[in-house]
Amino acid sequence: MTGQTKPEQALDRLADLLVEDILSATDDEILAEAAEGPGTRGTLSRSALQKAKAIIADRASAEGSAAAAVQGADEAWSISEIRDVLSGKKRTILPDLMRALLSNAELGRTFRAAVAELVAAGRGFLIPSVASASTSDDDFERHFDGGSIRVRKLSSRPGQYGVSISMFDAARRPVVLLVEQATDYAIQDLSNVPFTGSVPLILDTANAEDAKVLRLLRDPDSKGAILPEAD
Amino acid sequence: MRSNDPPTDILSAAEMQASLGKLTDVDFKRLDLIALVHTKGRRIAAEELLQEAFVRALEGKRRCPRNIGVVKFLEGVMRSLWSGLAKGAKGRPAVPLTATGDDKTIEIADPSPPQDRALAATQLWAAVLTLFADDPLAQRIVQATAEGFEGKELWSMLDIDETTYESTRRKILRRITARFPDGASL
Repeated sequence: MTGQTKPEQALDRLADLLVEDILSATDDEILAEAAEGPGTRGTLSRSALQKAKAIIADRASAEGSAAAAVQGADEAWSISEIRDVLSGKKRTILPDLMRALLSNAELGRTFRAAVAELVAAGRGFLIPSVASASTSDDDFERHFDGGSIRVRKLSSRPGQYGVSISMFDAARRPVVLLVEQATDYAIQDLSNVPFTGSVPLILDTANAEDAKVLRLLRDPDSKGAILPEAD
Repeated sequence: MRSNDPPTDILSAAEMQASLGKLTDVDFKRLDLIALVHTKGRRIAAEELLQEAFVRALEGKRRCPRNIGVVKFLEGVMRSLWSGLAKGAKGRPAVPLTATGDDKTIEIADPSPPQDRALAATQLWAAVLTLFADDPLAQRIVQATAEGFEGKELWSMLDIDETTYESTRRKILRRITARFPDGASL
């Protein structure tokens, strides 16, 4: 550990001890941590695994793998496929669609059109623009026909906001949040977040995508949609 | 391993993919905690570390012996990656930290130069000790562990038995990991 300061060495040794404990702890002990504090929900590793699979699919696609191309190629998404994904017929490849959206502006337009079609068909909820900006940037709500979105700043976590998407019908789990303006949009995949009548999210302004969702939700001119799981 | 050992000792790529598909909520939570501990609570770095570990596992760049369990295997991959990053970053302000492994280059966001990391470590260490200000035994175990004591040597130095030591360790784990609120640093 040459070159490390004493506190760095101390933290490394403590980390070794903690990792050993985490590996040897029983499932109940791991779950019990949630009772002691906010804890983690496994969201980091779930997200990391999805991204890793996307990377592997991209690499395989670049090598000409036809199987991977089906999942990895951005240009393969048609509006009907996107509708199928959003309406639940192909929900398992939603993460692939989300990843593709990050790098494909044309796909973003197609996606927004597909969402608009589903909302028009009554298979999603429109989040309307509001008459005026909220009096507070740090604690506000947006409403839609099927429920509401509450945003509040977390005093204990600088830069982070708690977002709770509540549904009037607790059987209708929301899976996608879209917020958009004329020139920008943000999409949040909610499909892996626990749902018990509401979806709790923590958005961090240090994360560009999270910050964009928050900015757009604050903007009274923005609109959006909540797509629930298909019946 | 003998050279003629059958490859069945190692999970195949398909088996690894299947194993990752069967990870439970507890497994994911355990992996989050391990990554956060390795990265000292830095959420973005922890997610990137996890992602690279998954990539290596899926690509077969790191091979998982059949008898150790996927979570433990991934912990080993993360430890190795993070250790490589720490060594690579020593003495130079890497922005971001960059390390090369196998034929790939990975980048894990830690824009802090060494002096900032040292300062952050000092503050973090102080925060850890403060966390146990109300529990002198836990604080002494943390300090003794940091000094490099472990096992029997540690129990005997603190004049405690193994049961007390193990139960206090669990308390230390619970309290520290509870301070990783979905990834916020200590």
